[in-house]
Amino acid sequence: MKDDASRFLPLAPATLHILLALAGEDLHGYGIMQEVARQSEGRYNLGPGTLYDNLQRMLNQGLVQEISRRGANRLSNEDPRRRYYRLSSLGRSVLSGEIARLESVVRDARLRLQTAKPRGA
Amino acid sequence: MIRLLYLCLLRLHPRRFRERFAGEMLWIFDQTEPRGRLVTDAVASLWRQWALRPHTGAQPPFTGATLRTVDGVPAFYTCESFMPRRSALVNGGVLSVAVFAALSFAIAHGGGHVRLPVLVIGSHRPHGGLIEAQTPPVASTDLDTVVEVREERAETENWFGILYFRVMPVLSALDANQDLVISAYEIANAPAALRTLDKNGDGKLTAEGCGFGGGPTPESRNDGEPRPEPLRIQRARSAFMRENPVLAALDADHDGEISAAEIQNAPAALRTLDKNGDRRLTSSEVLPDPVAIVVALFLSDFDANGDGKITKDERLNPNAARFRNLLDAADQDRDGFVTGEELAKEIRRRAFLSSILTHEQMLAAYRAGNFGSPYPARVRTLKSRQ
Repeated sequence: MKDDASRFLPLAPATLHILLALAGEDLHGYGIMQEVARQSEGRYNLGPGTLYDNLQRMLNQGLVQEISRRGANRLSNEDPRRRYYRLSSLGRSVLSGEIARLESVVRDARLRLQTAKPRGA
Repeated sequence: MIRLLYLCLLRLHPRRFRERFAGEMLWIFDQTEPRGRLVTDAVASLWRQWALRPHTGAQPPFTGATLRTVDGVPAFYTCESFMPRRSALVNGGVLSVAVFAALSFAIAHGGGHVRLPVLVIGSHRPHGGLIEAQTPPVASTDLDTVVEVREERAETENWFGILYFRVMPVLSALDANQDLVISAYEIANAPAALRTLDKNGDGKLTAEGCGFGGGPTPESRNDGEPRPEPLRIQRARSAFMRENPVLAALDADHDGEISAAEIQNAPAALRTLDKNGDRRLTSSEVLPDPVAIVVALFLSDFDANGDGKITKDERLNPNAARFRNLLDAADQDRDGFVTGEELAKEIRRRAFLSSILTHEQMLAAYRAGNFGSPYPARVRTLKSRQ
């Protein structure tokens, strides 16, 4: 499973944000867009075209899966056009792998910044 | 209005994507303000879907149940319609360009060696079943004509053929467009062309009508009867009709005239001269034998009594001095007479040894009085050592 996950790394920003948004709960497309905007504090806004283009690819790759409407917590007055998406176990492994990779990058970057001496010092 | 534009953009997406996500995208569009950014996003999505995403990946997977066979009967799986792979599109494009380039090269450089240009619209080669188009001599927009000096040199070197076509009225009439080639159409039109030479309207063509110039008409005798034509003129007229291939072919009964029936049958007669079967007559097929021309010149210049032979006395003509060696060698039977056949045989032998091949070379040899050595090169070397 780990080898399967590593072939997706590193992740594109849009893919990472979608996986992060779905890590907490099952969401529909509009919900994913709002969650991404919230996580990035409004600095990263996904458009519907970008979102569903990535969702289509991730569905084909098995990173996310579409769930039945009965399986999701739906409101009674919800629009029937909404579809809900859930992070698959492969998607969760890929997200974990990407976070570990980013942690390594951050750790290495901090180490270098601490040891580096400013020029002329 | 902007919603309609967004709807159109969604409709332009691939069917599989549209069916699955267009409803949600439109719902999000309805929930979002401002909407201008969403239109840009839809355009980018449209480009990504058609340019970057393979549409074969979403095919339903093959399953064992689908391909299960019953009693050895194979099961078949039908794929849904999908866009071809990008690599296939690239390969197809490259192959199309290669085929187009090869075809263009064949048309441009095939010439008469490849049969392909005959099949292509625009080929200039005439066809027997077609009527020639009358095109203006100069194209109104053709301003980049290239004049090649080499072409003029080639025509100069072939001056005998040009002169022959212009001097011989029959050939001049047959070759209507004066391109030194009697095309298939011109062959088919030969009866009408030949009838233009019939000035007196008797329906036939005499040797004089075909271009023979035998000299002044004999004067009348005192009793009013015309003087008989000299034998020399009669022989020359006969040779004229016999040695010119076109006239010999047209005068089927060899009576020295081209009758009305022979004029009518002219296309069939002319086609017998088409040695290479290209349905047209070029100068190499209609020019007379160069040796026969030179023999006629010999007899015209030196056969004073017109008996068709050059006697010993006639060889004393001062102008014949430069040919003495040739004429002596031609008299094989040592009877003192050089007949036309004997002279032709000797000239042909010497011309072969000296590589005198063309009409121009043969006439130049006659003017110079030098048809080359009667001996092959190896014999000449041995003789010089002795």
